[in-house]
Amino acid sequence: MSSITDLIRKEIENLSTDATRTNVGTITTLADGVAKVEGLSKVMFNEMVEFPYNVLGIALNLEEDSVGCVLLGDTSSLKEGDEVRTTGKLLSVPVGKALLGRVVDAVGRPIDGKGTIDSDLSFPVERIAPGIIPRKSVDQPLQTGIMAVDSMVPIGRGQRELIIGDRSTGKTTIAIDTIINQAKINKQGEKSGDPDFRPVYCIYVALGQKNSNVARTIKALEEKGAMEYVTIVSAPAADNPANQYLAPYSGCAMGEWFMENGMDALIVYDDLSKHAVAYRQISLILKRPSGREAYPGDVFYLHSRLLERSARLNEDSGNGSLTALPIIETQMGDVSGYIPTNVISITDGQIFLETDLFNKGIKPAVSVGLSVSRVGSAAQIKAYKKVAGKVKLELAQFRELAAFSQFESDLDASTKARLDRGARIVEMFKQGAYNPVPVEVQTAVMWGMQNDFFDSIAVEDITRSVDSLKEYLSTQGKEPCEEIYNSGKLEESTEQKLRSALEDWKRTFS
Amino acid sequence: MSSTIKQRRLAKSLLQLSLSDDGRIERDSVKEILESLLVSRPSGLVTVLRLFLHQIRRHEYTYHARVEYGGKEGEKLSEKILEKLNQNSSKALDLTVIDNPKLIAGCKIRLGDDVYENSISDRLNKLQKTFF
Ligand SMILES: Nc1ncnc2c1ncn2[C@@H]1O[C@H](COP(=O)(O)OP(=O)(O)OP(=O)(O)O)[C@@H](O)[C@H]1O
Ligand SMILES: [Mg+2]
Repeated sequence: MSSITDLIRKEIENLSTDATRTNVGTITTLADGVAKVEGLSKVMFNEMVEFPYNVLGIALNLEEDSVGCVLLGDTSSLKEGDEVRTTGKLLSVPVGKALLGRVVDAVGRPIDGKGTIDSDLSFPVERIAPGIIPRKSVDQPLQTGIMAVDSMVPIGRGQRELIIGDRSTGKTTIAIDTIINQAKINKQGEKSGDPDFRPVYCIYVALGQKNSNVARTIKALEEKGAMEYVTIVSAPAADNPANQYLAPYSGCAMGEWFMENGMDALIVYDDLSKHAVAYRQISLILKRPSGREAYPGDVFYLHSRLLERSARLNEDSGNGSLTALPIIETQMGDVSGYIPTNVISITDGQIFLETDLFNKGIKPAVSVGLSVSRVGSAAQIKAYKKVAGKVKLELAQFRELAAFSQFESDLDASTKARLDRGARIVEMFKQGAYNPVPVEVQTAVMWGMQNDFFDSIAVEDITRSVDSLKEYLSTQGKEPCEEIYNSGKLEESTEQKLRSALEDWKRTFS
Repeated sequence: MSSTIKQRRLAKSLLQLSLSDDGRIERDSVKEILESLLVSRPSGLVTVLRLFLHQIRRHEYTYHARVEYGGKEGEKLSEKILEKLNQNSSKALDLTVIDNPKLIAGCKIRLGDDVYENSISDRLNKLQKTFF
């Protein structure tokens, strides 16, 4: 009891007794989560403004005779004529490690019922991206644990890699797998006690999704023990468009805190198509001129200023990084839509997921031809590069040949060999959801494929055999994998051990 | 209703024309302007009139001070502040002075859309915000 009175006393002592000066205005119209306000002549762009009943708003349109504000929160009690006042502050959200393991809304308030967030740090939601000087090129890997991605479209820390595909093609699953894999690597690294180990913290921005989907994601993360490294920023479909518009920027501010304090973070925006739609809605209500597909003219800037904030900083600037995995949903596989092309041109590559492949049971449904990583291969570990260098080409050739060979009856030996190899690689890349594979095991499996260990196994048994090999390599045949893990290289001696391990495994596999 | 840049410019220049030397709105000039507008009938007359009205209201606002005070001390304080304001302002100020017991003690002055406040109720509000 006394502590409460102490607290109140302390607050009273700290209370400023100066006269306050505010700038006020009155609501003239109020509709669809947007208020037009007369007055507020000294308001700043993007400033937080205060409405009655503790409702906050952001000044987005500064016009000659009025100010357009989007409202955050419950607007049902507001009415025309209410007084609005400036706060002199830009919208900011709490940041820091206290947010890990929590679920927050678009302005950083907890919504998981686990009490208040213990953080006295905050960052403004809108910040200028790091310039050219503090940046450095991508050179450290960020492993997703998905073989098809890590081998063909490797991702580096500080990269922005788009995940794009039609609805329900496994986009979210790839992002969640990546987060689970980071948690796995973090735990392993922390256990090893290596002082140079750099954990990757994750932020998942769930935007415009059904609450049931978000709950499913949280459950999957909790089951895999990944939640302790993750912050979830949720602005579900039922939330007002202003919150959906803000959520990615809030999440980004939380990620930037890690980057600027010399740590590594990963942020997933799921998904930016809905972000663009929310922004379009706000803009139309604010009566901004609309352009193609009724999006406002600055929809490119909407995403470019967000994604540019992901970066890899150099040693002088603390050596931190923020990797972004934005997600975009396409309509009927059309990557040439307005928003998809915008985001493709901003990011450093994309993982394109194809409905056809997904329906054929090839999951993850990564399209070889349309997926690319423009910077990530510089970050692949040496051992992996050695075994994965050719696989993308082999698979691409296979897809071409397979289309051709449907009409041919007798094929020459080399074509047939390529087809056989390709079919096996396709099977090798099949991987269940929420089941990331450590990079050293991936290396060993790929090495086995390159060295013809799977050639004698029937194509329909490949997935089963790969699973059994992964199992074997993380139990009995651990040694070569540990060597790869520790050195990052594939030495002659390691290859020898790998060969004998694979021979042992093949004898046990029937 | 949207307006064009031309109409907005016109409304602004009309406002300039209706000001007296001390920066206040002059009723006679306004009347003259309105009469000549009705004769010349520029395009979008209704919009121009609406904008003109808006400009006049807004301008009037800038030299209208609304003073609220609570308690004896508040009354004295508000008088002092008003004196200062009158010294610093280029225009003579119109005043509305109200005794507002809701402030408990202190005063609140609104000039244009700026509000200066030093009152018990404001401090209590601030205190409340630090807790929620
Ligand atoms: N590699 C996989 N193996 C097995 N099932 C998978 C795999 N990837 C995704 N799925 C399943 O496919 C379904 C859709 O996946 P997901 O929700 O990730 O797709 P999405 O593209 O994010 O969909 P939406 O458009 O609804 O956001 C889920 O039920 C998921 O479990
Ligand atoms: Mg999804």
